[in-house]
Amino acid sequence: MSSDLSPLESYRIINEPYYEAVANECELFSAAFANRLPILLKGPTGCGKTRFVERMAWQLGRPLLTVSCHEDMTTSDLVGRFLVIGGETVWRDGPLTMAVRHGAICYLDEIVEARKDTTVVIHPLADDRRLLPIEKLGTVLRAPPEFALVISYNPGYQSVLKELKQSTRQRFVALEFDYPKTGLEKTIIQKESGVSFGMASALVQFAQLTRNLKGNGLEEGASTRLLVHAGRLIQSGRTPSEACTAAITHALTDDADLIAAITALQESVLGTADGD
Amino acid sequence: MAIDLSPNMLQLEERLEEWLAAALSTRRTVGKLVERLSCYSEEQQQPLLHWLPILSRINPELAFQATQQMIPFLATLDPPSLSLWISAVIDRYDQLGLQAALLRLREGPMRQKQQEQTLLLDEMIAMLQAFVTALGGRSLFVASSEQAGGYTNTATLFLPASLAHLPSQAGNRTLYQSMAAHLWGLARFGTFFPQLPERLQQYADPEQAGRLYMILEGSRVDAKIAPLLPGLARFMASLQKKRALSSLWQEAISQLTQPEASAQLTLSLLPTLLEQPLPEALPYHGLPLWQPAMTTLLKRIAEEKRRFRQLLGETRDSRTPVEMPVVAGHSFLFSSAEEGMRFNMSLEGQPLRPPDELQLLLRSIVQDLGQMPPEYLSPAGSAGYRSDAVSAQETTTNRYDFAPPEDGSLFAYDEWDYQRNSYRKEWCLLSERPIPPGEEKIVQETLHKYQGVWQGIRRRFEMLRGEDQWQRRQLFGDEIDMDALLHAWSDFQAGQEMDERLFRHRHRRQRNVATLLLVDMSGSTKGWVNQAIRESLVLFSHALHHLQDRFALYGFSSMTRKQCHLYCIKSFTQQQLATLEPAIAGVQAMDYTRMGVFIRHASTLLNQQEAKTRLLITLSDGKPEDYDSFLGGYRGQYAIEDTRTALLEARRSGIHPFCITIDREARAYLPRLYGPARYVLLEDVRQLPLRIADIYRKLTSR
Ligand SMILES: Nc1ncnc2c1ncn2[C@@H]1O[C@H](COP(=O)(O)OP(=O)(O)OP(=O)(O)O)[C@@H](O)[C@H]1O
Ligand SMILES: [Mg+2]
Repeated sequence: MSSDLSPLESYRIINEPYYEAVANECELFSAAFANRLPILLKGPTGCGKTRFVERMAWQLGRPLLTVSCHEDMTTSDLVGRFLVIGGETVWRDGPLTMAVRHGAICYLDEIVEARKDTTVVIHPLADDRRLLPIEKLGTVLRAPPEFALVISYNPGYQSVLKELKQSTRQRFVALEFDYPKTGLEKTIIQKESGVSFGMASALVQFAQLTRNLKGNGLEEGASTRLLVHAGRLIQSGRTPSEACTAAITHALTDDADLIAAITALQESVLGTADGD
Repeated sequence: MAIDLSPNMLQLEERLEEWLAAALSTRRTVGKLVERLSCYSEEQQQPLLHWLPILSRINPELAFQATQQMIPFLATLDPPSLSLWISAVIDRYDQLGLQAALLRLREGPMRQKQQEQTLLLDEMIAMLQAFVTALGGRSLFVASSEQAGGYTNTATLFLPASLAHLPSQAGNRTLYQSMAAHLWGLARFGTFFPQLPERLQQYADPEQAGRLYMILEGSRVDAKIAPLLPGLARFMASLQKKRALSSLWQEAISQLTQPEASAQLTLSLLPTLLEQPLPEALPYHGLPLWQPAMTTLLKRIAEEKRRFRQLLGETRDSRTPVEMPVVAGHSFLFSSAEEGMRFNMSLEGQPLRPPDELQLLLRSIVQDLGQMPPEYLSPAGSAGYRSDAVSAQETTTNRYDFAPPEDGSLFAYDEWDYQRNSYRKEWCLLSERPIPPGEEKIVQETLHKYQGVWQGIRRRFEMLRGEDQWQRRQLFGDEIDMDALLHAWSDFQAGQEMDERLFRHRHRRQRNVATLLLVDMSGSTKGWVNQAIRESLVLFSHALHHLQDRFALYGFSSMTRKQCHLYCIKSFTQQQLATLEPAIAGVQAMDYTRMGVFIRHASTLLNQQEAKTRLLITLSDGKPEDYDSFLGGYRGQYAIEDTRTALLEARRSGIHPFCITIDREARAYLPRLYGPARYVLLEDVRQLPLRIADIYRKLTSR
């Protein structure tokens, strides 16, 4: 790999990622990109947001840097920091700075997980100034046209301790995601995992029942991602019952009553382990 | 009956009264108990007198019922066996709550050794509730049946308290699931409809016709469930195979299992089969009862019709502020669209997106009636509920005087006028007063109705109590936070200030939350919204009590700015759950919704609480609005801006406001109204009791 050409070469997406457009999201993303507008992806976990960004990065020919936000993340984790190497201090760019410097797409996943004093650094980047101040270096970077900021967040009523500030969210073009429509979701499961269409249909049918439990004990129902996981386990020779228990039911909750209920749903749709 | 009240008896009466005070009422006194007890010797009374004070500390209701149940056994049962029984009841109470304990109590002391395969509903109910919720459609609740088998009234699924039909526990578990799914199917696929009673009356023996109808419907509905739950359908089929059927019956059932079969087809089959002997009942079908469904159904239909026409009226008014012919009649058109049961709607040929609440109502109405009757399509006038509200006010004026209350206090609050861009000083007069108590016994009823839901809530709330966590980047702590140290070191090397927060600390999180729940008592909540609010208050208060979180409950209703009444249902200081019942039963639909002033006063009350997190939850059914005559009045933009400002003030004072709205029609202004708060729109009032505890749990967990 010739790292001289661009340090972000390894972040480039070479092969076309498989993505089924759900609505007009691809066109909207392209239009926002062309107009240098930052983008907010809203939607439940595992519904295809990351896959969508990968697909758009590939289509637009930009490298993609993804940061999963968490509570202990600091501004330095995004912007960069001095490291001590052999007694000398060396500056190391963080992912956000790298993306700005080299015109890449920076994807901040689950932005609300980060503390608010961390997320303010994106404010000047996300309005029409498109600036990234690097306090520790005493410099300010101006983002090139190829740079794009994409953040994601899962609405639904979260804890009062985690919410996206108005001043943050009102800077973004918001694209709303949900699980793909029934027919499309079956196709996705089939293509991503290799199971038969019949099995994919049964998995989707089961998932839809669990989605009715959202807000009634479950924070989310089974996502497309979990169905893909279950499908893959089935393709490797596990029984549907084993696969669903491991990949879906226990991934959803630890609550004993709900596990029992979801297991019952699973058996009601897919039958029990011993085949009846 | 005259009884000789010996000194001993008088003393007994006093003691019973003391122990059972919280469970007594004018209709329920200790007189009867004393009378019955007087037949037993002092020695025989001993075990009861031993257990009573213990039980009454646990739960007065339990103590009262235990007394009733124990008396007949005092002569016949030895004290150890009595103690064994009551201990089992208390265990049950600790594990599963009052309902379960009462069931165990009623089972009596001499419960024969259970068969191995017996499964108790108690052990399954939270799971079955979730199972039924997942099946979708109108919200249904699971509760134990007081009859000899399972049945549904289309709002609740009543399941037998235990099942031992199949030889294994696993089999009986699946049997419970099948019964739940089957009863869900009866409510879902049109078995019960308004004309059913008259159709059955046509037969010489309507009772027999009804039984036959239910058995045939059972087969039709099973066929509808099969494609949705193929796994369960195989289990059901294995039971069906064991049933011997005459050829006439076989023929009928094969017709009923066609995809397009409807309840009408079932009715048309009645005459041919009436003379035939009934086949054996399927174990998961429950009792062939249709009567319990009819009352619930008719009440719901009337309520939904009213609400539907009101919504249509509002939709029309919000579309065309200019004159519209009052007889809009059939200008609304609905057609069922592709996926699921979604509806398209058009007004005067123009396509409209039906508001979500309307969408749900449509679904529910079509589920009950099979179609949309034409008379539903004439919208109610824009005044809608307002006429209701005024009449409600008239009828309540006798009970609620508008003068400053003797036992409450008056407060003046500013109100935000967005046109002047300033506050109207001391514009509103708010009186805080205790809520006039209601009589209805709603606590037991609610806890029973939501038995399954409630058990789930309890368990989930238990998990919320105190959990250990690492806190990072602390000034002091149990261990060095390596990550923080590395950062600090590199900062230091780079000539920058070194962060001193270098430790991590293991710490038991104390829940330090104070919550004030503010509920809408305006006229528009009359009917099922009010019902749902009361039930939610019961579940909410029991859940929070269980969690030992601090909370207060207030209701509000206004009638012009000078009469803003805040009714105290439970203050922060009040601890007793038992005394809450009359207060919650007192929550009823009254006048109007001047939101701002109530939010301001609730904020004042909350800010008097020492707590790390202060949560203000409002529960209302739509737009803020009051009845007053000053220019513009408290409605529209004015009301929205004042409410919004009040929420902003709350927020600035460090309170987390959260708004729950039941009116789904009002999407357009909600983001503005609740801008400073966060909110959730409930699709269906009936979900409120189900969701409220969960919402609270999510709001306050990390
Ligand atoms: N529209 C789609 N086209 C193709 N695959 C999809 C689509 N939607 C979902 N998937 C599948 O679902 C999986 C999960 O999606 P993804 O990882 O993008 O979720 P996400 O929305 O980013 O979740 P999270 O919020 O948890 O990060 C993907 O790996 C892919 O297999
Ligand atoms: Mg992702």
